[in-house]
Amino acid sequence: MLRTALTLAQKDLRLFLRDRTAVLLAFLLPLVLGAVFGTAMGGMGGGGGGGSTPKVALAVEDRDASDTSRALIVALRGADGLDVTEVPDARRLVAGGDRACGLVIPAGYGAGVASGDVPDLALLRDPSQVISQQVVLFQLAPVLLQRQVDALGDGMMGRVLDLIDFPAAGRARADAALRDSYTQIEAVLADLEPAAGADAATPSDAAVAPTAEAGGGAATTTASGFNPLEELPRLLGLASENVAGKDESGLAGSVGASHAFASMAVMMLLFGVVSAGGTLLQERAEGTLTRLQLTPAAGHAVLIGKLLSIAAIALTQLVLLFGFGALAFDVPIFAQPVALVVVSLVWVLLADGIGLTFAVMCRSQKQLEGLSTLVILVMSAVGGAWFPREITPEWFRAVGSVTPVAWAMDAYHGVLWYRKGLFPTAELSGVGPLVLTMLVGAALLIALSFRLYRKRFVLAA
Amino acid sequence: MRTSNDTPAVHVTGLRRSFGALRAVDGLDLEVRRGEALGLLGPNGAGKTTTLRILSTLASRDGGEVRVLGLDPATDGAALRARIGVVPQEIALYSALTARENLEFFAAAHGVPRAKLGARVDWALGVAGLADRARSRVEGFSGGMKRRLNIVASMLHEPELLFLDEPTAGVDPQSRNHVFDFVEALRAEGLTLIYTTHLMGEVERLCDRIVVMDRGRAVAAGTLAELQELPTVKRALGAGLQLGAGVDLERAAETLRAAGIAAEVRDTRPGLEEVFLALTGRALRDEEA
Repeated sequence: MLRTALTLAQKDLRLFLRDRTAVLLAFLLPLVLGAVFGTAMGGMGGGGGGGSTPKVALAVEDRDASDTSRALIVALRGADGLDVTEVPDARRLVAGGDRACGLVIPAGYGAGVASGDVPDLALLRDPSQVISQQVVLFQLAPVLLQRQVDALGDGMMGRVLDLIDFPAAGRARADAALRDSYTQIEAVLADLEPAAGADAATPSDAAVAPTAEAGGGAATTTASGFNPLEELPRLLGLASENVAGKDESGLAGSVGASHAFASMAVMMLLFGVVSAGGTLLQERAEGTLTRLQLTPAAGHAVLIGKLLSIAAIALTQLVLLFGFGALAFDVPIFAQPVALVVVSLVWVLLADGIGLTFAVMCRSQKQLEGLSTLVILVMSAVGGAWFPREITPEWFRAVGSVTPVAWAMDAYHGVLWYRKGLFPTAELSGVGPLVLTMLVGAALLIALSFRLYRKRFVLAA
Repeated sequence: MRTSNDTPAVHVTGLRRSFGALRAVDGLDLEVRRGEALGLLGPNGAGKTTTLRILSTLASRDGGEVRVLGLDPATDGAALRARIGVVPQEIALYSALTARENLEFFAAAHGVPRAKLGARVDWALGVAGLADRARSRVEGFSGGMKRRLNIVASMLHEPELLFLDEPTAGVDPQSRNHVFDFVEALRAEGLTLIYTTHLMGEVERLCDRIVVMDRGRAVAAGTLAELQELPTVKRALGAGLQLGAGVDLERAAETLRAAGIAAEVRDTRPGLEEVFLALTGRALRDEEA
């Protein structure tokens, strides 16, 4: 019996190894996805080395235009983890998702520093970009502390004591102790400087763990209970404000739901259209395609028919998905209804092109299943459908940004979270350029699929 | 473009088609008259299927002249497809659809006018013996039922010329007989047929004339009687004393016995299978899938 079982096992292994799709999915796919996730998460923890640490785009609006404010901007540009650009309207950029964070230096900042009564800097935040906020805060901390400590003097230490409701009777002694402590910490920091490198200012996985995101608020708490996103701004003299993800009445939406339904709309639609496109290969294998090619209006009508049926299925999928999202999770589908419809139609067209191109490129359904699973999963990962691209290294983000998944994710995120329309307004940029990019991509892929169809399905006979 | 009935249904001279180094069709000459039922025979890889595909607009040719119903398949594809029917070797039906849904779809795809569509579908269901199963899904049909439906699905647009590529492969004798009756009825109506099969009995029964293909060429053409008389065939089959055609065998036997010659007199004319093997040889012709 054992001998028979071994013979059967040997046969199964031989069949498995002859099935290239099965081998691909079993061995190559986990390696590729592991590499993608490892690379992406490496950027999150700062473990990827200085070159791979994600830089966060910080928009700085200088309303003071003094020597002091300019010196602060120069110091911020020196921070390794920040990509600082000076802009006239930081709020618009952050509200539209074009920058992760914004810093507004108020008028009178220079004079305030000189007088010891420093006005708060405004930190503009996008709750959907939690990791970026952490990076910005940890990058801002040494710069602001360095520049403000002397000028703030009692002011800064007073903020600390205010924060913990310290009794007035012991304020003077406590203040002195704090100042001593800060001096000692600075000395320790100076000792560690050569070893710390660029990653010293980046939060580590152990130090910061995301806990919840709801109602537009983002909370991250360390093991000791310290919430850097809430407490650090106050310590640094920053007045922080969430400016993205709000509707016209100022109510914040749910970034988690918006992201989840955008992800599903993008990734599952791709699987759906590739599967529907695969019916072309099924029809070829079963002979019905030959019958269709024998009809008078054969040729491109066959492929156009596929295109339309795939689009109908995909649109139904999106209507059900977003309808459910709106009813059960308050996904704001009516915030920008026209933009949502246009983005969805164009995404269906692009996905249609992807599905058909896969179908006409592959020789069999098995090959289609293997190849499409690999490509869609990788494209979804690098394109931001699985995790926010903000946590990934810059080169990873650059690769992801040229994938259709990234275009669709950014467009859906723009409409659902940032409430962007197709065209720019005074407050927000529009998703028009993304829609145009998707449209061009769709046109190219559909043209390619028609060409390949003629070459591989018609003339190859 | 309609052509007169005087022009042959199919006229092919010097047809060539290669796939890489393989010459699938290598200078084929072929003529099929209107109303004729032609059997196209050949071993695997002889070029039958490629020829059918070229004639029915599914494949291009490298050289030679081809006219089907007076039209060139390479340039008049749409017009030609409207006038021909092809019964493919495989069951080319949508198994998740019912028999009627399949027929309605293929009729519409062939441009059958809406006003005529219902009647044509009813006709097809009746001819296929499936009127009472019209609303059943094809996936539940037997092999014979699928085969019958497969044939009528190619005839909904009333083609003038019908290609049948091994239409009875894998069916039971009853269904095969049903198909034969159907094809004979089509012949009686004057439809031109080109029939390929490996089953010689089918060709003997259904076809007026036979073309034997081998290595991309027509190696013999004619009626079965004409093929039996080919010198190549006679040489290959060996001999005893051969009497000419039309000799009364019983009288010949009596004459020999009266002359005191002990002889066995019988009809030894070869069947089509023997003719076929004589013309194409007995070596195996394995074709790569």
